[in-house]
Amino acid sequence: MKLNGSEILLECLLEQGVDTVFGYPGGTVLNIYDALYKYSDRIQHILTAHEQGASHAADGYARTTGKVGVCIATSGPGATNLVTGIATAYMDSIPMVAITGNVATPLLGRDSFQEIDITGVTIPITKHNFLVKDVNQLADTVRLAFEIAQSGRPGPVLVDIPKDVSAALAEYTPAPAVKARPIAPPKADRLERTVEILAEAKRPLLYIGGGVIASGAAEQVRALAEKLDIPVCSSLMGLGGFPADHPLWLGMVGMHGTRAANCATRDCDTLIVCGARFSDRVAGNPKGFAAGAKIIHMDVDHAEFDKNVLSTVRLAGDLKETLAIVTDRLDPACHTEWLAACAENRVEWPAFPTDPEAPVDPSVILRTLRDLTDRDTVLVTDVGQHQMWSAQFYKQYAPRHLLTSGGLGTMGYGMGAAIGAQFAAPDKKIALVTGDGCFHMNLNELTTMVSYKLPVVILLMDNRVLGMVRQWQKVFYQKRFAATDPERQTDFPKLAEAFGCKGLVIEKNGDIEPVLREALATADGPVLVDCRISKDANVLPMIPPGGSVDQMIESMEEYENER
Amino acid sequence: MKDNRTVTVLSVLAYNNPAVLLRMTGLFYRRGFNIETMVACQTDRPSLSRLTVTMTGQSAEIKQVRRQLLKLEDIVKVDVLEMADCAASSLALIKVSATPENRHAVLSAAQTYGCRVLDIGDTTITLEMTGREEEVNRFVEFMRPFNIVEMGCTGVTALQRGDTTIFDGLEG
Repeated sequence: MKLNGSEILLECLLEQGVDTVFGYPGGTVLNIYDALYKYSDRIQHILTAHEQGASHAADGYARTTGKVGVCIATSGPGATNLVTGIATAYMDSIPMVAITGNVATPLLGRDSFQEIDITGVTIPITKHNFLVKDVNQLADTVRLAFEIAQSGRPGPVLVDIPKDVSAALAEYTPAPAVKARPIAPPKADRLERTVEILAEAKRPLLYIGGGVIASGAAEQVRALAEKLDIPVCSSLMGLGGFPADHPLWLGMVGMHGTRAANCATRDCDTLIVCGARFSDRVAGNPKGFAAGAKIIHMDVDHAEFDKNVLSTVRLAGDLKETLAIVTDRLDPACHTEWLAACAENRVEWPAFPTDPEAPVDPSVILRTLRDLTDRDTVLVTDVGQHQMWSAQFYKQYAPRHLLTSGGLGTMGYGMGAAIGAQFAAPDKKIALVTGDGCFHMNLNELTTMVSYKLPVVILLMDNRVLGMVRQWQKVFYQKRFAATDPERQTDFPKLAEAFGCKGLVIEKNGDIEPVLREALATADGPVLVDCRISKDANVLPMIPPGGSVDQMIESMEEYENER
Repeated sequence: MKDNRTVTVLSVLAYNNPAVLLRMTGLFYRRGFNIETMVACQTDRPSLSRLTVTMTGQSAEIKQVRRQLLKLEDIVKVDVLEMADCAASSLALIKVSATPENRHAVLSAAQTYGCRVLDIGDTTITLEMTGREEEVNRFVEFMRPFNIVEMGCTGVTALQRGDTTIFDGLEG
C-alpha cells in the first residue's frame, strides 16, 4: 500500500497504540497535520498554547499511563520550544517520542526559514534521535524510536522529518507494536552476595527511586520490605512506590526529606537502593552518605553504578525480577529494635489550627486536599516550595499518582503535565499544585484547559515571591532578596476568569475546606484557587546542600538565633 | 605522554551512522571525561566504524566512560585495554627547515629513526614518522633543533595483541 510520509507516520503511531498526541502546527508539519485531519477518528490531537506545553503534556500522559507520550512541533522555534520538555523527560527517564518537522532536504544546512539542527540540539537530552532523509526509512525509524523510548531505562527520542519526506510516497507494510528490549537477568554471583549481605543485616534500609515506578516494581518492593521487616524511604521520584500509610514507611529522604528517613540512611548497616541514583538532592554529601553501610545497588542502567556513591554489590537487571528473586531466596526476618530506633525519629504533624481567621498554612491546604480526595487522584506539581510541600504533605499510596519534575526541576512543568494527565486519565481527578512564579511561566495553557473543558483543580500557592530561591537567600545569602520579590500585581481569579476559567480564593484558614470542596466539585472545566500564603513560609526540614542529616535545619527561628 | 599513569585504550565499535562522532565527543564533553586522543576509521564491515580513544584516568572513571558509551544507541561494543596489551601506532608528519648546510643532517636523522621522506622543498623537508606514541614523541623532540615549521599528528590507533579481535562475541 502506497502512503505518503505523514500517513506512514500516523499508521506507525497507531501500530504502537497511540491514540492521543499533543502538538502545535506550523509550516513544516503541514503535511502531518493534513494527515491528522484525515486520521482524526483514530488519533486525537490536542492543541496546546505553546509547544513547551505540548512536550510537558506528552510527559504527563506518559507518567500517568506508563505508555510512550507523543508530541509534535514544527521546525525551528517549534522544535526548540520542545527542548525544555524533552530535557525534563530525559532527566526523569520518561518515555516520549517527539516528532518535529524540518525544512525540505534540499534546504537543510542553508539557514532556511525556520530551520534548526534539532537533532544536534537534542543529542544531550535524548536517548537517541533521528533525522529521516528518506521516506523509505520512516516507518522503521518511528518503530525504532518507540522501541528505544521504552527499553531499559526509558527516555525521550526525537524524530526529525523534513517536509519533503512527510509528503513523499512509499510502500507501507503494517507491523505489530514494538516491544521493549529484553533485559539481561541479574548475575547469579551478585544475587548470592546480596542474599548473604541481607541475611546478615542488622539495620537494613530500602531506598527507592523513580526506577520502581518505571519498572512497575512497587509490589516487589513491598514484598521484600514486609518479608525482611525493612523500613523504606524514597527519593522524590520514588514517591508512590511504597504506600505512605504503611508502618515500614519512613518518608522522603534528602534535602527536604523527613528526619526519620535521613537518620535511617545515616544509621543503617545495609542500604538496598532500588532504581535510585543518589542525586545531590538525596546524598548531599556523597562521601558521607550511608557511610558505614554495605550498599546494594539495583538498577537497569549500568552507568548509575558507582557514579555518585560507591556500592558494595551492583545488581544490573530488571528491578521487578531482581527483587522477586532476592525476596524468594531470603528467610523472613524481624528487625524490631532497628524499627523502634527509626520510629524514634518520626516527627508528628501538628494538629490543624482551629481558628478560622488564622493565616493560611500551605501544609494545611495539602493535608486537607488529601483528606478530601480519593486515592485515585493524580497530583501534579510545578517546582519550588509548593512542590516540596506537596511531596511532604500530600501522601502517596500508589505509583503514577504524583507527577513532578524531579531531575531537571522545571518551573512551568505543571500546567502542561496536568493537561497530559487529564487526557491520560479522563475519569480521575487531577489536581495541580503550583506557585505564582511557576504559574506565571506557562499560564497560557489555561486556555487549553478551558478549550478542552478539563476539570483540573489548580491550587496556586500565592506568596507573591519566588519562594524557594528567597528561602535560600534567607538561609545562605543573609536575606539579600535579589530578584525574588517582584511585586507583581496579577489578580489571579480575574486572570482565570479572563481565560474562561473559574477563579476562587483562599484567604484565611477557615476558607480552606469549603473552597477546596467547591473547587473539587467543579466538573465542567478548570478551576483556579488563589491560595494566599505568607511569603515567609519555609520548606522544612532542610539539609543544606553538601550537608548531611546532622546539619538539618528544623526551625528557621532556631537557625537564625544560632547565627 | 603527559604523566606516568597507565594509558588506557578504549576500542569502540560503532554503527557507521551520521553524528556518531558528535554523540561520542558530546558525551566526553558534558560528563567532563578527559580523553587524550581519538581516531576514527571504517572497518572491513561497511556498517561499522572503529574508534580508538586513549585516556589516562583512574579505573573508576574509565569504567564510567565505558558504561556511558555503551548507553549510546550507535555503540556496539567497548573494549578497555591497557596500552601494554596493544599493538599500537600513531603517525606524525613533520616539516623541518632544511638549508643546503643541514639538509644532510636532517636526512640522516630521518634514516636513523627509520622514517620516510615524503617531500623535499626548496627550504624544507617533510618526514613521516610512525610508531608507538612515545617513539613518535621522541623523534619530534629530536627534530626540534632543526626548526620544525609545521607538524600534523594522528592519535593512537591500536589493536589488541594476540588473536583476539573486537568482533569476538558479536553476532553476524
